Amino acid sequence: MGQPVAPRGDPRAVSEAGSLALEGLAKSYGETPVVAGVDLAIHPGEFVTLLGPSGCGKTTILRMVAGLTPPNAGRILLDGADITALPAHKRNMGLVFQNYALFPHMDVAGNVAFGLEMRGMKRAEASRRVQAVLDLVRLGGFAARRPRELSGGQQQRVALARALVVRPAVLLLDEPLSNLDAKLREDLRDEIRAIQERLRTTTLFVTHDQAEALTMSDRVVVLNAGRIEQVGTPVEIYDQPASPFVATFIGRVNRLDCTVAASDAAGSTLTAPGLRGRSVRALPAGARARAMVRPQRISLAAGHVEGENHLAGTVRRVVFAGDIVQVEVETPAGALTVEQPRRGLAQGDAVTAHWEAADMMLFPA
Amino acid sequence: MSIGFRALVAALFCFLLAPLFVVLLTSFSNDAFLAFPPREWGLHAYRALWANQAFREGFGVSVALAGTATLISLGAGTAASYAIARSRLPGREALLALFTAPLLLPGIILGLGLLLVFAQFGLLATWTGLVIGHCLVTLPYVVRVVLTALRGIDATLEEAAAVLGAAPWRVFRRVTLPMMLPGMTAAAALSFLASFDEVVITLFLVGPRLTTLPIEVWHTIEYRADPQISALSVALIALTAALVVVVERSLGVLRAMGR
Amino acid sequence: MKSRRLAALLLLPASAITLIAFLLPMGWLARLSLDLNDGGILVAAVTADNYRHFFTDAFYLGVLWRSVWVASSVAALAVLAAYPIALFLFRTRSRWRGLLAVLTIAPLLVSSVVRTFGWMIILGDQGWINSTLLALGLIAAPVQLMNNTTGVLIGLTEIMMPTTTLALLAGFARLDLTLEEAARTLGASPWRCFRRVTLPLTAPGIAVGVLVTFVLSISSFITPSLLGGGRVPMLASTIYEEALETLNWPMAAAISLILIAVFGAVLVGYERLARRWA
Repeated sequence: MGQPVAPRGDPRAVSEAGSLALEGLAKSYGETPVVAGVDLAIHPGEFVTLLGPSGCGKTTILRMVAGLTPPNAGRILLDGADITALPAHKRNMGLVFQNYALFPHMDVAGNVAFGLEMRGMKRAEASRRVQAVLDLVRLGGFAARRPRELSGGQQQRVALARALVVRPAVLLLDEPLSNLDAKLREDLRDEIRAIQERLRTTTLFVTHDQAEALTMSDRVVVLNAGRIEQVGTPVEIYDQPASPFVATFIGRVNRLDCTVAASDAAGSTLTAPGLRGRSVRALPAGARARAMVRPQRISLAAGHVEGENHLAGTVRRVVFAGDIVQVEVETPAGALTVEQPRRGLAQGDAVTAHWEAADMMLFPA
Repeated sequence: MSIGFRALVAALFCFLLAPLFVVLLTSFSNDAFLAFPPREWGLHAYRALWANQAFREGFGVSVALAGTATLISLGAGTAASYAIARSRLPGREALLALFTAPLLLPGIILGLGLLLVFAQFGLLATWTGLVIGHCLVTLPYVVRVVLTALRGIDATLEEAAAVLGAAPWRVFRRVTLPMMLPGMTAAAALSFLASFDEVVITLFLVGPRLTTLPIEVWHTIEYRADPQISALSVALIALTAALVVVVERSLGVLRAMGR
Repeated sequence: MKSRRLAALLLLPASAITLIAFLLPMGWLARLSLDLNDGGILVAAVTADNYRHFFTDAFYLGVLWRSVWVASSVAALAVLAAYPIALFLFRTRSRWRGLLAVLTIAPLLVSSVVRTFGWMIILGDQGWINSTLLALGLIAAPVQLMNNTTGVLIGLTEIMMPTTTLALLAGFARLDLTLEEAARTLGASPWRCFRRVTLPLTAPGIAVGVLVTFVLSISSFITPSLLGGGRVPMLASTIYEEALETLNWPMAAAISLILIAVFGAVLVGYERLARRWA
């Protein structure tokens, strides 16, 4: 047994941000596997996001860490101690729910103080801590309000305050921004990240929104059907997706079916109708492959230009989408969507799409 | 909606409320015998009601009986509802059906059954027998209403309390129970009302020295039409209205009845 | 709640009450219906004599027939009367909606003895209707509206109306107000809209309303006894008489089971019909 979480009942102990380890975690409901063997190590103070489509098991993993859902197999370790069998109320974690879960029969101060009350803290001390954390989430004057008097964003901040005030070893957030409208979501996103950076609490964040995952996280875990597809920093996930699923789930891609002509340590040469391609990834020669390039990484030159990773085609449609301009190009290898910052091309123009070898992602077909 | 339709509905509402209206009116009759409209108006009926010893005793019995049955049913029913709503015990749906089944059968059959059993065990015309008989009627109400209220409580609230460090019994005491109180209040009010108004089953359970108010009224009506009954009816309607307000304020009448 | 033992413990008091006050009496009643009553003395037996007696005696058959007839009539009348109210409550958007809903249900919460008493005042020889008609000179002598089947029908219909309204409303779920609007914009007159759209879509509600009202009416005791004056014997009052006046308990038990059988038959019939329509 390693050093466990901060002893319960001792409110003055400052919980060290804990390290969290998931070993072979699995959960099935009847015959259906929801989480199929997950291994993950989270370092103290890290902000890790579980990202994936609905049904991928991310919320189930979070609930198992919180102790609300018992796993069928695997272990959960907090600072090296096995807490898998520990009931939820002894784990010293903080959980922010998607629907806030504020106690309607208590005011804001009562809600936030609840965790401190459970730990036996005296009223006076608890009040000070509550006020401090309410100031932190910029709701300093709201202590006497009732949850139903608050807006969605305010309720979410109270939920955050309630989870943080107990100085948890791990902060868990279950899609906390999904119920808010877009502008509010962005503001709160920055606020949560700022608070987390200040407190350096180990944080596990669940979302299906890739923008949240990319902007807030130290590392992102991409999940699909109960399995981890990739773990990496936001840049790694975006630029070097480990699988077609990750590539298509994050950002947008163009798909090109091609054949590997030759490959070596530096990468592969590919052929597709009208294209002589080069990627930095190596696949066996002769294999059929699926290449992907992001729309923002493609440049368009006027007319037909020869070259490696150059694909000639005709502009089929130009769509003005405010922030960007989408240009659809018809090529012998298929249709490409290119994103550009400003307008200039017209339907029917002859263009050549080209990109860097490093931007050409390659996967087996 | 056309004027004709609205007029029809208005007329039907009048039909619906006619008996209550008539009872209210005749309660202010000074006649010795009930006639409509009253030949003399006044508060004679209410004064006579107040002085009526038999009715006062019956009222006392009814109140005590309703209170006792409500308390017992509230305890038993709330516990059962909590177990049904929150546990994963197999067969709890079947138990729920069983607990609420008495509401489906006619009172006359329930009453007869009780008569047969109580005769065997000497419980006829006893206080205990009356309480058991009324619990039969009040328990289903409590179970149904409290269960509806419980199912309306977001389970994530209890989960939040647990993660914040509350052991299961503390979750119940600090989160679940306070949120159940409106439902329990509504259940208590409905249960009290159900017991207080109970006639058919009670007919089988009372005796010469132990009788409830509705039974007294029943026997009186069979033999004569007295404005006192109207006055008593108005008092009972007022009591009903007060209890309905309690239900509406706590849980809402339509929600309590499951709609 | 994880502990099964705790759950079982919580269910114990309610189970005890249900066992003592419900299951035991019902079982006893079923068993007793097979016994005999010989001049006031209970004779333990296992015989279907009581049932045979019921179905061969003219009086009892008359009671059964009258009960079915009254209950059917009340069901039809109550649905007819409650339908406009239910439709109104379903459609109305006025701010009085809540109040009107409470007014519709409120009579349910008043004791049926009080409500039936009100009807006695209205229908009696010196009651509201007769007094008014006499005063207007429309009749010479009081019309017999009480102590007969007419009185029972009128009173029972009104008593049932709140329950019928609730049943209708529950079944109105398929009626979307925009469907009626669509029909109107397509050229249907109010009557045709009603006949071709509203009525078919509310049919499930009507079926439930008829079912619930029939089942409650056929087992009704207070209203038929008071408004019938002993001249409208129905199943419930007959059970009462056999049990407490004639003291023929086995017979009373047998009639009770026959009443439940009628329930069951009606419910089964309803289920069959509902499945055919669905």
